[in-house]
This record gives sequence, structure tokens and C-alpha cells, in this order.
Amino acid sequence: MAATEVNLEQQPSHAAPPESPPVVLLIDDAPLMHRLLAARLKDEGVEVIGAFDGQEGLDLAQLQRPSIVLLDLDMPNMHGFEILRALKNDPRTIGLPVIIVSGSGRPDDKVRAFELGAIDFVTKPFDAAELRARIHSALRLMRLLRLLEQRAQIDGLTGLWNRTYFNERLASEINSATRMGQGVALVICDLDHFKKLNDTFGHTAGDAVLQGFASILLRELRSCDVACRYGGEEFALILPHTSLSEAVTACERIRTALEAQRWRKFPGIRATGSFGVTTSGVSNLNDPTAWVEAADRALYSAKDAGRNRVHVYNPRLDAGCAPDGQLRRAG
Amino acid sequence: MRETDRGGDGAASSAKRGPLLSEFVGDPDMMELVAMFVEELPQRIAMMEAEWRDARVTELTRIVHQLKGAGAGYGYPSISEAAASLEAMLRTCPSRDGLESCRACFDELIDLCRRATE
Repeated sequence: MAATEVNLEQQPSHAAPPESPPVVLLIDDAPLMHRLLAARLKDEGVEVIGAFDGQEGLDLAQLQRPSIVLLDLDMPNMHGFEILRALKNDPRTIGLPVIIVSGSGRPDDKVRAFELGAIDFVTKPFDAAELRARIHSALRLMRLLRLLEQRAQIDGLTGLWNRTYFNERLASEINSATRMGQGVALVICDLDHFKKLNDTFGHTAGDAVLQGFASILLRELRSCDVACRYGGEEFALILPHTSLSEAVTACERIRTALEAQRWRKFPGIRATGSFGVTTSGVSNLNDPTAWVEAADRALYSAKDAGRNRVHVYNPRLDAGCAPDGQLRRAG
Repeated sequence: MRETDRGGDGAASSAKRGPLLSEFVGDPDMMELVAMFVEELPQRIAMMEAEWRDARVTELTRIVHQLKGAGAGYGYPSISEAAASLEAMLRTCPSRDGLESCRACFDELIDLCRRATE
């Protein structure tokens, strides 16, 4: 189910395409800092751009696609933590590594920074060589992560297959099902109220929930099943040789396991998921998009009915419904 | 060349302690930057003295905080240290009336900044 590990360090470096210099975005209200940083990074093969407040910083982060953000905390309009939260809540900037560069050396500020998703914390006045080393380390880490995700087709955070792999497998499973006449089930599931969870408990907690859910999937599914991270908080499962009732049973197991799951580091978290299920028997197999859309409608129906439940696609209604009705009819 | 300090206690006048030199003296990459920093120091000194006089603790702390973060980066670690001490005192300073207790730290920072402009 999960991808095998790939040692990227063994990949020949000439295989990577030439890259334009990484862009470093500094968000700090003091011109003193901007001048200093530009000078200290002059020979590092990076391009430095700057913003003097949070909103300007957020705009630049979205438009200029920097490779890394250096973020001050103590600023007059938007505090650094507010800016960090905004960066992590926006899908365009969520993957940007952020190093906090702050005059506060307080441990609780450092803890908060990491909880909100910062990759590193440097205190001012900073040592130039140290800052350079940490920047390069963060950039290297992100490069490796991106390579890993692309080449191994796994999702970096959860270890599940990524969406690209899902699309490939979906196509081949459809072929098998058509040829061998055996049922394949497709499930799309979505964590309930995930954005609210991230806002309440922080980015690190959100990651822990995603990883926890991935563990449950791997535990409850068989080795022939394909579990993918489909989107931010969305997952897709391909279950070969599986009838509708078997798929519903598996989803129920996963749903109750998630409901019961607790995280020691975040004792206040209660997570639930909604599930939409369909099988090859009810959809036009020549069109994988239609198949995915069927599971999506079942998911939508589950959300609409109150979340934290499993719904199935009903072809007669061309919409989702609770499993009992559908399974009774199927006999 | 290193930062020079002829010794003596914090209350000594500028005349006794001599100019404060940046650690980057002789570093061609940094000298222009240091020159700009030094050029802006008198303005910062004047602002700090004005905030002190009018007991505007928050505004004063902001300037001191920025000096703390930048000083060492421009080759003046003693300015960063003095600013750090003063900032810590200002943050625990109970009110405008408590400002006097920070005077020694304040004088030390102003003195270092003045010496850096010499």
C-alpha cells in the first residue's frame, strides 16, 4: 500500500534540471534588517526580496513564489505568528519553508513558532554564517522532499500514494475490472471540519491528524488495496475484488477507528471523516471521471446528512444515500 | 580591528572611553552598510532621548528592540548587549515613574551609540 523508500542521495545530480536562483523573502519592519540580510546573503547564490509588513509579505509570497521565507515576529500591524498562520492556511503558500528571525529568544515563542509550522527559529542579533547554514539546510530539505514526492509518487507527509499515482492506478484497475468482470470499489473520504481543526490546534496538530488517519487506513486495509492522499484533507481508496457491502464494512471500521482515535500530544482533538463509496458495477467504466464523480456525490451526500458517516452512490438517484437502502435493494 | 573599550564603569563620560569601532572595519563588503548605520545613529539617539524625556516607554522599547536585533550584525555587539539589557528592564518597568530605575542602562546604550558615531 505505501511506497517503498527511495534513497535520493544516490540519484545523480546531473539528472536534475538547472534551476533559477532560490528566492529568499524577508518579512521585517526594520529597513536595518533588510540591508543587513541583503549584504550577508550577497554571495550565496540567492535572490533576496523584502516586505515591510504582513500584508505586503503575504502578497509577495503568493505572487513571487519564494523558496523560503524569513519572518520577523515583532511587527506593528500583523504579528509574525498571524502571518505564519496565514501562510499555512493558504494552499499557494502552505509548502513554503518559514524561518522565524526574531529578537525574542523566549522558549515559548520558539515552541509556538514550531507548532504553527515554522521550519526553524533564529534569534537576533543573528550570526551570519549560522543563518546562511540554516537557510541552505532548509532549501536542501525542501528540494529533496519535492524530488521524493515526484519520483516515488508518494505523499511526503502521510507516506500514502499521491494523486498522480491514484490516477494511473484508477485507469489500470478499470481495465482489469472490465476484462475480468470482478468488482472494484472506489472510496473518497474527507476529514470533517479540518480547516477549523487547523485553526484551533495549529498546523502541527493538523499534520498529526492526517498522519493518524493514514495509519488507520494502512492498518485496516489489505495489501492489495491502494490508499492515496487525494487532496489537503481528502483521501481516495481503490479496493480490488471488493463488493459494495464489503467496501461499506471496511469504511465503517475506518470511520469508527478515527472517531475513537486520540492524540497524546493534542488531547483535545476529536476527528471524524465522511465517506463516499461506489463500485465498478454501478458506473460507466469507460469514463474514470464519471466513476470518481459518483464516489464524490456519495461523499457530498454523507456531508450533507451530517458528516461522520458512510454513504454510497445510488445510480437510480444519481446521488448518494445511506448504505442500508442501497444494499437492501442490491440483495 | 576590534571594538575598543578603554574600560571604566558605565557612568563614565564619552570623552574618557574613546570611539567605538565596528568589527567590520577593513571589510570592503560591509563598510558601506556600516557607514549607513552610523549615519542614522544620531537620529536614533535623538529619538530615544525624546521618548525617554516624555516617558513614552512603548515607543522607546521599540527603538531599543531594533538596535538589539541589528547592532551586532553591523559589528557592534556591545550595542546589542546594552540594548538587550535595557529592553529587558523596560519590559518589566512598572510605569512611567519606574523609568528612573533604568537610567544607568539607558545612559550606557546612549554612550555606546555616541561613541560609534565618533
